[in-house]
Amino acid sequence: MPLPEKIIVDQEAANTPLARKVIRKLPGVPVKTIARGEDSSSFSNQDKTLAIYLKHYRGRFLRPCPATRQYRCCGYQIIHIGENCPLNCSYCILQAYFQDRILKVWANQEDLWTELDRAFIQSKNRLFRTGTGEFTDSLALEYLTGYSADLVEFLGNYPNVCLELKSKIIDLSWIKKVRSPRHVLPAWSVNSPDIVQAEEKGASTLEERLAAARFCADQGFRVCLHFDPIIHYPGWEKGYSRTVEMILDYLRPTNIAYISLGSFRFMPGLKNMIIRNHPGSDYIYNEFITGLDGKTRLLVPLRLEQFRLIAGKLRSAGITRQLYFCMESDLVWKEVLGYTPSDLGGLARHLLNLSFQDRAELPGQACQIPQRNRFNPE
Amino acid sequence: MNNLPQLLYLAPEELTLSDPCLFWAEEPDPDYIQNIDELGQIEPVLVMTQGSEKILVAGYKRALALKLLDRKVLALEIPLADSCIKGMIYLVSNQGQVPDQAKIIHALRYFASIDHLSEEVWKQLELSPGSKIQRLWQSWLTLPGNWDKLLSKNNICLECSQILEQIAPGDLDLLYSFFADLSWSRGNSINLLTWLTEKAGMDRASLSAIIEKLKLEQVLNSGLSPNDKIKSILKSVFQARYPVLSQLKNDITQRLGSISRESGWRMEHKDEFESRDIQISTLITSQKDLEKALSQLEQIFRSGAFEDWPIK
Repeated sequence: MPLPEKIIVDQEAANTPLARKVIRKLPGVPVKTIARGEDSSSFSNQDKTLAIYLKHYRGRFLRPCPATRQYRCCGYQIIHIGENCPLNCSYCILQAYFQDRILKVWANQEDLWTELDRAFIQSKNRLFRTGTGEFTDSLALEYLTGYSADLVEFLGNYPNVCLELKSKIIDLSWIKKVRSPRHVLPAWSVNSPDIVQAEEKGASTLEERLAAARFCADQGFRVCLHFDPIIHYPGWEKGYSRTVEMILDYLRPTNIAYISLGSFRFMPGLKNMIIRNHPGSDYIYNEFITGLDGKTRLLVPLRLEQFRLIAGKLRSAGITRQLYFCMESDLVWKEVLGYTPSDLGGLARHLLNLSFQDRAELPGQACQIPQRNRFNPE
Repeated sequence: MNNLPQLLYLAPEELTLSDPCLFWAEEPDPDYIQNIDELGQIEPVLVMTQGSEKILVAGYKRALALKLLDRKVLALEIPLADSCIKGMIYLVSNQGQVPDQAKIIHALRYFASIDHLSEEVWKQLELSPGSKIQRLWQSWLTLPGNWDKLLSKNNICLECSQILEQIAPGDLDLLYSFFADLSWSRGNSINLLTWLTEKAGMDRASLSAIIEKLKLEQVLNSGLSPNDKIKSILKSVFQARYPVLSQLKNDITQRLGSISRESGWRMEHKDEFESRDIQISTLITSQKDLEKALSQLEQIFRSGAFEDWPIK
């Protein structure tokens, strides 16, 4: 993963602990301070060098995951800590959202804590399933910012909040700040080994992710896995079958809070970006149609055959209620799993139950677990 | 005083009418000639003197009309300048015209050929620098000049330029024949090129190989009408690009057709199979029509045609 070659910092955020930490960890990297009222767009990265922007963020830190009427959403609450990602996954929507190489980090953490405290205290009888992996990778900048460590430490005071840390890399330094593993869900995106190798440049290998998940499970965490995006390519059957086998090599069903399945879907504008930026990524030429939400999606029979294979293998291994689809219609749910989110009391509620469920309540399944312990936190 | 423009009366034969800066040179039509004949020349043409030649740099149509009427040409002689200035003078002197695509490409090719496609030129052509339309024209300029004729004839649209510029020269030559005699609508031309290039990307094959595999040249050279050629070519390319979707569409069209046949009901699926929704409609003009339509609908219901409807 490349290191930032430039630091941009809002003057108001320059003295925050987070900004000082990042600047200290990147000695020799030039720092440009933006005065209040100065147009930050003038610092846009014309030279395309990788920059980290420590920003005084003025928007909402806590927000619901954008849902659509036509497809079932998981009801997750985003804790917004920054935008953009240093990884270079060919399919990533962030390249369309943020057409630059500026990694934005909200440095005014005090404002974040205030907003979260207000929200979680005001509704202390409500359970919150939260996560940071929507507009950025939860852990990709952890080595610089320690954001997830700060967040888990802060959220340790709120038993009604469960935090999911979703990533494609391995950084478990945050573990030492966790008060109760029951309220933190380490999560990794998983894909077929072919896709990980060809399309997820800069990310950890599948083995590394699963070994890290194993380590977390050994520390008392339940983990989440996200098959997203599932890509239809020649040989996908073998590739995704292998991924399921590997998951079962590393994890017991009881170690898993939930697994999502999401077919590759994208804003139409992303297609040309993938063609231009990743010319070898020919999965983009598959049979995509415009879905009911205006996003481009794989044609439903092709999605169904992939979901049936992956879900079938996971269910055979005892991973049943933990399975869900990300942004799919009732039609797909019914065809693959035989039920719809309504039968589970609604997807958001179901996932909330799974997130907060005591581990003892999950059905146990025996499997062989490799002995690994490569991820001792500092 | 010598540098001031001079007004001259010149015999048409004295004028050189072939300078490339006259990139919009147009033959006068009979109405225009009649107009000049009746009203006379009310505005001088512009000339430059190079050696013994009087080179026309603006006013081609007027000069030619006067030549046909065997009249002298009133010309304003301006100082000799380079090709770039000549082009700009010509452009500015024709500012009143709303240039169509053919004119724009002629102007752009002229300035590109003298390596002077400046911001000023784009602005004169009312193409904002940095705009999407400018990018399309820039892409078009990468194509061989013979494609300009196809654009001028509206056989292809400018929006295709960004696809065409990615295509290898050999493939481009082959594609040329598909646009030479057939006039493709904007949507059809973009679809054709998109599906063909994407199919080539999927198969990691050349465009020529895909065209050969789909026997598209046979369709092109067949006795079909132009519209039928376009339909047939698009159908083949769509089927190759979207085999599963094509099959589903064919199946559903046949199935809905067989269900609604012999009734006045129209049945359509519009959601690209993302839903199972079927929209059924009919047109009635009287109570009697309604009664008939309901009876037909009842028959469709009793046939059980939708019992196994879901898409698998």
